[in-house]
Amino acid sequence: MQGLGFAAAITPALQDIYKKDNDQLCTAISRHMVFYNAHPYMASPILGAVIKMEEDIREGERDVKDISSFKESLIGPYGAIGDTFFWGSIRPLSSIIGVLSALFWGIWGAVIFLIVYNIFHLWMRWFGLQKGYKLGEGIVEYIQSLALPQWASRIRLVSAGLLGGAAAVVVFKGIDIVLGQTVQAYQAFLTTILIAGAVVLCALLIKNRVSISLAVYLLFLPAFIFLIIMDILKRV
Amino acid sequence: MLDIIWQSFLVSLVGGLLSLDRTAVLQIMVSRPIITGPIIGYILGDVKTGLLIGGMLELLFVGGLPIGGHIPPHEVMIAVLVTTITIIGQRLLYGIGFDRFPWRFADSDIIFVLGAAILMISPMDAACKKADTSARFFNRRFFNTASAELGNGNIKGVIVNNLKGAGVFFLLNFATLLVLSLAGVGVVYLSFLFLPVAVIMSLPLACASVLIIGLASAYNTSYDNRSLPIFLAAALFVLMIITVGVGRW
Repeated sequence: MQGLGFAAAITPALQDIYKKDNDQLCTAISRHMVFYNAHPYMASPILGAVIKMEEDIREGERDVKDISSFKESLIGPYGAIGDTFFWGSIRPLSSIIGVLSALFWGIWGAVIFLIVYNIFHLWMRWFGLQKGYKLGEGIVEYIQSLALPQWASRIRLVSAGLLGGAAAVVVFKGIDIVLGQTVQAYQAFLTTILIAGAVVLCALLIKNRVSISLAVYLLFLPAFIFLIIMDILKRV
Repeated sequence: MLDIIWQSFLVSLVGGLLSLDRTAVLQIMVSRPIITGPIIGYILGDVKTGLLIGGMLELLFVGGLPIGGHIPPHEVMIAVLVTTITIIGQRLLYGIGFDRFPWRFADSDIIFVLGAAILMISPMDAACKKADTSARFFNRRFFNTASAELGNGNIKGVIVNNLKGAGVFFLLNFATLLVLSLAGVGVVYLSFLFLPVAVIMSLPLACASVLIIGLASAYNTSYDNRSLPIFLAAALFVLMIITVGVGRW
């Protein structure tokens, strides 16, 4: 899957390590032309550690089999950690912050989204690579000490709070646009509670493997049919 | 007509490049709808609509995680297509003096066109996923080519074949976007001309559906035993602050 990508990424470092020996260089690159499929950002610490291990191999301090067993042992766990932390918590958090900011500051919301997300992303890419190179196999303990799954869980709660705020702003702005400025506070409250309830119900639908597109149609169709029936009744 | 083709070509080109960020290059998230929407809006001269669509789709697709073998919706191509179809479709209808509404069709009626574009998400997504899967399947051969070239001592072959994979993604995504954007604009145009007015009038409901499902999809990503009370408390707290702030008590 990402074997070619990993080999291409490590090639400049290997060229530096095996400067004069083209055969050794080709053999070293071939070692990485194998199945590899982990989270793309979590590849950085692995890449750093593998570069360090390749240097050790050149010095004759390590066996080549160590590299494949090291990579194979980390593919699964780092894939899961990366998916949970980056895809499952940082990206939703950045998206919600971005959308919430866009409601107040327009296009700056998009910029804020990019900044928030890439602080975490580039941190892992850059410091992960550096730490991996510095610590070698010790990177495993370092990543473990970061407790990323626990942070993911906390970040999800922050996202839930921000999303609640975003939902209220969206509803309030929607009420203003659709019904005008004359709406009273209690009406806004009732609408928000109704929509929050609808959101939680729809979330349950999606949780039960109903696809997002189908959920949109399921929500749209009853209202659509109601409007058509009203139109027909009006004509009759 | 030439204008529409040229604009579709341009947005497909940019959309194709942005879609590389999804899996092939960088992954700094410029491929997310909240970024793609305004960029396509800027190219078509309507950043505000692009941002509105981008924000809605961002929440809708935030739960689409590429975990394991699951293929999530192709959010970047969908964002490009919905933005393009909405903006170009609205201009096209305005240009011909669309007169089936009780009022004169204007800029503010973009919500009807957006509703139509939203209802096309599902079939468009199926086509985009097909293009994505085809590119992945095609790219397997570059792995074998790179291995063979490496066996012959050609180190550059590894880098070049890796980049060729990104090239295939770009070409397939570009072609898919071009075909689907032109087809989508055509479908919107014909729907507005021939569908009953009552059906067209119901299209803004699709936008409302996307908003609610978008919030639900984002809520799902933060799902936890404690997330429901936090979500509801935050919603009511913010609403209270807004209502006090604007003096509606």
